[in-house]
Amino acid sequence: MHELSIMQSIFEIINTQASLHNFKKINKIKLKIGEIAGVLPDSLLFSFEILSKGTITEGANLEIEEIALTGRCEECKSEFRIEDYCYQCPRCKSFKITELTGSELLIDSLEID
Amino acid sequence: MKLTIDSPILKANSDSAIETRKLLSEKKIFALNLLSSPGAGKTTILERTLIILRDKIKIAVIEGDLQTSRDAERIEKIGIPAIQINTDGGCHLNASMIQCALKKLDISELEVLFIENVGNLVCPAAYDLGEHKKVTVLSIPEGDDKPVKYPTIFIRSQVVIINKIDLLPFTDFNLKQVKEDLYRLNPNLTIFELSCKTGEGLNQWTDWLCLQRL
Repeated sequence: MHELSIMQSIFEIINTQASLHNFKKINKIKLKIGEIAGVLPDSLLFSFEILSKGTITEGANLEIEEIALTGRCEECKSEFRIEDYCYQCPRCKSFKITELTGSELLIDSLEID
Repeated sequence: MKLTIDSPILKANSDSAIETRKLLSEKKIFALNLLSSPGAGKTTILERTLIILRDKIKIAVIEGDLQTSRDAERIEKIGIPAIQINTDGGCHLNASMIQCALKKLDISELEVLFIENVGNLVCPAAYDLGEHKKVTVLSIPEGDDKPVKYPTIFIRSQVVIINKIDLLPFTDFNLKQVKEDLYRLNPNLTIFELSCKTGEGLNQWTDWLCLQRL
């Protein structure tokens, strides 16, 4: 996907937080990116290196936690890793699956001075 | 010091989309986001659909392309109001573009709104535009491996239209396999098979549309 514009959205959120909490230096940015969010962590890191120059995020460590695709079977209630994009319960074979995790595109936290 | 944010990165887009969906629902306007790769036949499907439905349902269209107003002009030729959004390089529509476009439309008696997204099987899947349903078009010449290669857009859609079925005899497209692949990704999908060339399957699609009115 277009990781540069995703990174710009991240910076907008960070700038809003910087105004709210009055900080001027960020040491770490933690993101949570789901398996099917359509965003490549490596491309995000690359975009961060480009866009962070000259901003309060320059030099910060960008940590990306990748979140696996999981679901819950609404028939037997088991929770499982969805493998190969197969939305079927491995236990009871039902197709009534609710996605639990895997689509996240989140700013989790910042570490600031 | 740790500052917890826990915010979706696309929150601004989601907030706008939720606002739009609330407005459309209140006004009983059923909105569809039409997705596909370039050339799958979204605009032609719209043309055929609008010709069948224009005297039965009040419809408007928002068109999205990088450049030109060709698609909006095609829709307007059929007598349906259309607003063209040009993204100038942007690979998907977003919710704030839709909000701007809606201000240019008379929605007072509208029943159905089609949003034809930029041709792209990747990025549009992630952007809620405020629609009620996502409809992804997959055409025969594209090949039968697209659902497994581009799973996210099919997981996120409620409807898939398999288009250009008149070309099946000329390709190795395995229709049975594609439908198995699609249901494996998304067991709750509604699938239509149609041809804008021969008209086959169009009525099932338009009958379904009529039933979706809010």
